[in-house]
Amino acid sequence: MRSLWVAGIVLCVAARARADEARPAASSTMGRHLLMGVRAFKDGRYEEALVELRIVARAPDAPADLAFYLGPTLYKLGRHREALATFVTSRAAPDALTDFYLGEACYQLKLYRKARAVFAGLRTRGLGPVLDEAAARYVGMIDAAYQAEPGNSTIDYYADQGLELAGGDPVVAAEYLDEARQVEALARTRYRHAEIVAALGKAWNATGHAHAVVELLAGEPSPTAEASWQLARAYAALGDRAHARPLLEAIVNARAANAAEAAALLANLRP
Amino acid sequence: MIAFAAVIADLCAAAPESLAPPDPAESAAYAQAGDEARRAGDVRIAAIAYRKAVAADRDNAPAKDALAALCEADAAPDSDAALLEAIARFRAGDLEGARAGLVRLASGAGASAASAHFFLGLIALRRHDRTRAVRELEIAARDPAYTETATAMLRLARRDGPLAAVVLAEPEIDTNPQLVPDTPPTGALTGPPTTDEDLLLVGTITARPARWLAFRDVLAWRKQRQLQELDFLGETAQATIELERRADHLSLRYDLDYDVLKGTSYLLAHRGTAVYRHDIGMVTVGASYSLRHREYLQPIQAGFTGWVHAADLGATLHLTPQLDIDVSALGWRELTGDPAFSDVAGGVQATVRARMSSRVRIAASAKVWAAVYDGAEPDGALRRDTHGESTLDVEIDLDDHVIAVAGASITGNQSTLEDFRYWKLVARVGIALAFGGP
Repeated sequence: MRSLWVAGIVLCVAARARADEARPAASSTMGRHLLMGVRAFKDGRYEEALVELRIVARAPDAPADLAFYLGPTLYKLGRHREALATFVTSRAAPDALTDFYLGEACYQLKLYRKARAVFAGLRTRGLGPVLDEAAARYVGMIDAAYQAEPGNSTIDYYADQGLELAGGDPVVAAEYLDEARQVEALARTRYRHAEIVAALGKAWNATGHAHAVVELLAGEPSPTAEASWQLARAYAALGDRAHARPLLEAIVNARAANAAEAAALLANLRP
Repeated sequence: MIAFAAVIADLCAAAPESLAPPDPAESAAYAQAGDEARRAGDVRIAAIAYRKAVAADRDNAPAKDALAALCEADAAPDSDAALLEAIARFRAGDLEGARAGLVRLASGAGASAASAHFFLGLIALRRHDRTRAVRELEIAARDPAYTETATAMLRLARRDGPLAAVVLAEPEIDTNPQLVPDTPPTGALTGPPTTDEDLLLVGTITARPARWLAFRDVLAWRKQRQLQELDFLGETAQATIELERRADHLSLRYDLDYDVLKGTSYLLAHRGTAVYRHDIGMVTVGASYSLRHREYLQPIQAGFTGWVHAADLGATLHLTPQLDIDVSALGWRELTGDPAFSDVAGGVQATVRARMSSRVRIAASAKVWAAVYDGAEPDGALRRDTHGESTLDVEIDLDDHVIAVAGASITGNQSTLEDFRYWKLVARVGIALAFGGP
């Protein structure tokens, strides 16, 4: 059965590639490399595909949906973290096949809650029979694994991975921390909650997801100093002075760890 | 890196002939992709890109050379043996010799490349070359076999560099705060001990204008909660010359200490130190000698002013990558203005340093020594002291630049004179911020 849905994915990519081969952009250098990349992917020459697609990625007119090719290529090469980063930073409109690969990459990285959300979402939106069966199987396996309440060691794993990656790869770090948040939410008692949401807020701020930070932290009943700072940064990034100002002022007045940065941000807020 | 642990022999055959006319722009695009992949340690992708660059333009000499270098490294007859030799050189302290071998291995493919990047990172770290250390360790960290260790070393690298600063804030509880740092002859009590809390703030800044030269300044301020007459400010300026040749390391250091007690000048000291170390595989042996002149600035302590000769001889055993043990023999001669405080002392010290995980480090040490004083007491007896102290410190990396610290120490001194018998316990917990650059 597995071979069936793998074949399904390859066929879908091939169909997309055929459509792209007809693009008029093929005359440009970028278009030529894109075509060579998708052809290499179709032939299973994933390393060559990666070389071509990286050249495309450097081009100023790189297509917004490059992740459609680059992500699966990285996935095929077993570079799951890079694939995940490619998918989640993609500017392209949601696409069922890309999302399927995103779910696969999450699953391979043990980001099961995220994988489940992706596969369940895909099934709701509608998939072909082969991919739908595969997605259902993933959802079923994850649900079976999470029938029991997650233990603290599971939360530790995701939180520690996220914190470990935060310095060098905030995009993937955010995914691990978000997984930690979701797993922690399934636990009966709170465990490292404040630390996780504060670190997640920081990672999302670092990757330009200010709206997500506000959604995450605005409702926190007793935010830590770090969480308040991240929330203030997010409000400031969104230009929401009414919410940013009191938070920043409180940080400055409390002489908290980020007081100097808060003061600078406060000074830059337009009246 | 595991995904790319395969050799690149299949990519080292002659590049396919192209019937198309040379396209230098196309070739340059591939070569750039190759360079980027090579810098990231992505050897197979780099080799494929260089092949395409050569295929697009046979005259692209840099791409040809880069591909040849990758293939040469990959075709090395026994990269494992070369790696072992390089590691042995590293452990023997021959950093330059190790580096030459590691650079060649790092530019190749296979599992040896990750190891080579890791050790290149360690060499750069030892030389305080922050940029290179971070780059090499980041590449090594992509290999699961090195992820944990390299990540831990990356944190150290990001705190190091030509300019490094550390700020420590540490509340303490001290059962005998009268024994301030650089107390005149150990145990010179001025009254019964009184437990007090204090806040210790320490700032350290280190500048390394050259690999062999370092300047450091340490400013320590200890604020007592109750015994404010013991508020202490210590300033130490230090210049160090570090010379190394293969397994031999020599450092020459000068320290200037200036201490203030409750706003009053207390001590001015100069010290010259010479340290020699020699690496022999898993063991580093070393010796040091220092000569220090202490000048106590208040008349009441003037009798303690004088010279101190100190020496030690010891060895460090690198038992595992996570465990080091230091053992050393110590000795000193204090010559003070008042002969009653001049002494000869000798003892031993042992320290265990363990890296419990990528974030947690523990150090435990114990020291014992005995001293005999020159001047006879009124009853004609010579004062004799026996001293012991032990410390335990824990550091937990909270992130690249924030470290939680905690520790405790216990000190005891027994003496033939009752005035010099004491105990001192200190417990502390704090936070340190460490930054390096540029």
